[in-house]
Amino acid sequence: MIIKSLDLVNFRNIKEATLAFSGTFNVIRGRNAQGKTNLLEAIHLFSLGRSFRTRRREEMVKFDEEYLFARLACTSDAGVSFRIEIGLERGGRISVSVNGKKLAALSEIIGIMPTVIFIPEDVALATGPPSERRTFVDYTASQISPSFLQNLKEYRKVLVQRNAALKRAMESGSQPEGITAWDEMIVECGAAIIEGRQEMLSEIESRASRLIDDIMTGTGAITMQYSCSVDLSGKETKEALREALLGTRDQEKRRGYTLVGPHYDDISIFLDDRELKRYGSQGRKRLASIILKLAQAWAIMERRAERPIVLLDDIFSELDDETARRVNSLLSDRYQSFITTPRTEDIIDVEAARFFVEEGVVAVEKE
Amino acid sequence: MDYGLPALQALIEHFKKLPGVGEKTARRLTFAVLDMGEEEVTGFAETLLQVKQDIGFCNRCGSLAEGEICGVCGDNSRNESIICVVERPSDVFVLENSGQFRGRYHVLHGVLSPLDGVGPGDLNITQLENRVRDEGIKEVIVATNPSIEGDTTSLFIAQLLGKYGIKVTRPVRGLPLGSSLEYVDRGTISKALEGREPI
Ligand SMILES: Nc1ncnc2c1ncn2[C@@H]1O[C@H](COP(=O)(O)OP(=O)(O)OP(=O)(O)O)[C@@H](O)[C@H]1O
Ligand SMILES: [Mg+2]
Ligand SMILES: [Zn+2]
Repeated sequence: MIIKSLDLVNFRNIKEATLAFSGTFNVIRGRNAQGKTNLLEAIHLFSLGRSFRTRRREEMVKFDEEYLFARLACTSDAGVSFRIEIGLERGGRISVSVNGKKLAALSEIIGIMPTVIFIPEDVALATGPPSERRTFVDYTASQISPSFLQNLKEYRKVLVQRNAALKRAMESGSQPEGITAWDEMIVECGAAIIEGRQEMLSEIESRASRLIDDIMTGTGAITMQYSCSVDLSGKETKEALREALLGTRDQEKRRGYTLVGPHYDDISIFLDDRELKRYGSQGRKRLASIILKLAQAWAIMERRAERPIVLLDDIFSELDDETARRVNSLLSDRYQSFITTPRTEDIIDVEAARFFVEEGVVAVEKE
Repeated sequence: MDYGLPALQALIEHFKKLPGVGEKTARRLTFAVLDMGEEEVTGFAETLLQVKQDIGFCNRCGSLAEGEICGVCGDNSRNESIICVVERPSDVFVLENSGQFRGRYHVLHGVLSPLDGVGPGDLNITQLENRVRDEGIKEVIVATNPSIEGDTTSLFIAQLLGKYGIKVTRPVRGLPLGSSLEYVDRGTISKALEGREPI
């Protein structure tokens, strides 16, 4: 996928912008708080139909204005062109169309333009709680496999119901009603999620290892390990999950909610055989998170036969010059990427379209 | 809207309580009633009352019945060894309409949903077990809706009836998740029934 152009009206602090992009590298420079991330947010809106910063869409409408308008033109790797238009009124009214055809909801544009975004907070992939890593793997697998996404959605619903049954049992001191059936539902969806994640993990792992080889020769590999809340050794996943549920039943009745299952699992990331979370330096954690995201982009590209757009928000702050340079060169010949930086010195030595943002005005920089 | 016609307004409000009827349709229906002859309106009103008074649930299967037993349970030409379990009485009508199924029914009056406080005890399940035990049933098809709750209920029934050594099956999932029987066409229903799988 390549984005050709982006037009914005009243998007955050950007009053008006008409931008044409390079198919490879787009650098967005500017001092702090000028509108660089706003620009990435606008692009990302066309991928997931929502902001990556806020659930409240209206926040994207420029202060003191009543509406925003955004239009993006892109072409898929197969050569199909899309013109997506989004209008958003402060009162909440939304209009969205693709190639002139109106859609009922913003979420219907999901899937047209796969995107991988890295924001500074994503270092949580290395340092944060297990949920960060689960979300990462689940997101990747969902982009690739609709049935994984389906299982994920069902699992969440089953969990809510099963927990309700346990809570009622706890409060009334009786047996949880129909629990054997809810168990079996957890087993069905849960096992599919665990196996789907393991499969996804090995896909990400092998790609991440090759990427890190390119960036830091001789650093050894990134390895990943699925730490399941259920003891999987020597058993079929379903059987293991079934046994684990039975084994915690009494405890669950006292606590009133489900205590095992994929929603408690974690993923350990190792760099050079040492757990990143514990032993990694700041820069290494950031680099590893970036690499995982790039591995994600790669997996999506190969499995969907569509190159995702890569958005990188201020990723260089903790990388040394040489590492930053290598990350860049890796990107430039694979994806169309958009990269922001508050720095003035040029860390980017590949050919690129360059933009400078100041108080919401986006200007094209001369070489 | 206030028309200064309280009786007319009251009828409009009654119609609006029906599913799928909004203000405009309710007004149209009300004017249609006004256009009816007196005799016809009387018949209509009496039928409304009668439906409520005479129709109850079948003692055996929980479907709608005038009297103790419903038409299907009373029909000796039906296949006695196979039961189709559904969520609501209206589902029986949908399946009867498709003309595909010649066995008998069992209406659960709901599905398992702890969130809504519905457990097995709140459903017509004990009676189902009694029927399986007493009536020489060979197969139970669980045609609850393909939702999380419908699926779980079918599992529960399969687990419950496991000890009787009968076949417990579920129509194949040709239906999109969450779609209720009501909105599915005949062809799809018969295909789903033909291709049922053991739970
Ligand atoms: N709805 C809005 N209307 C107008 N201005 C807004 C709106 N939302 C945010 N802003 C402004 O946008 C600016 C922040 O833009 P952005 O987050 O893109 O900064 P940035 O260039 O990425 O800066 P940094 O380098 O610090 O990350 C702030 O000045 C903020 O006040
Ligand atoms: Mg920023
Ligand atoms: Zn009956």
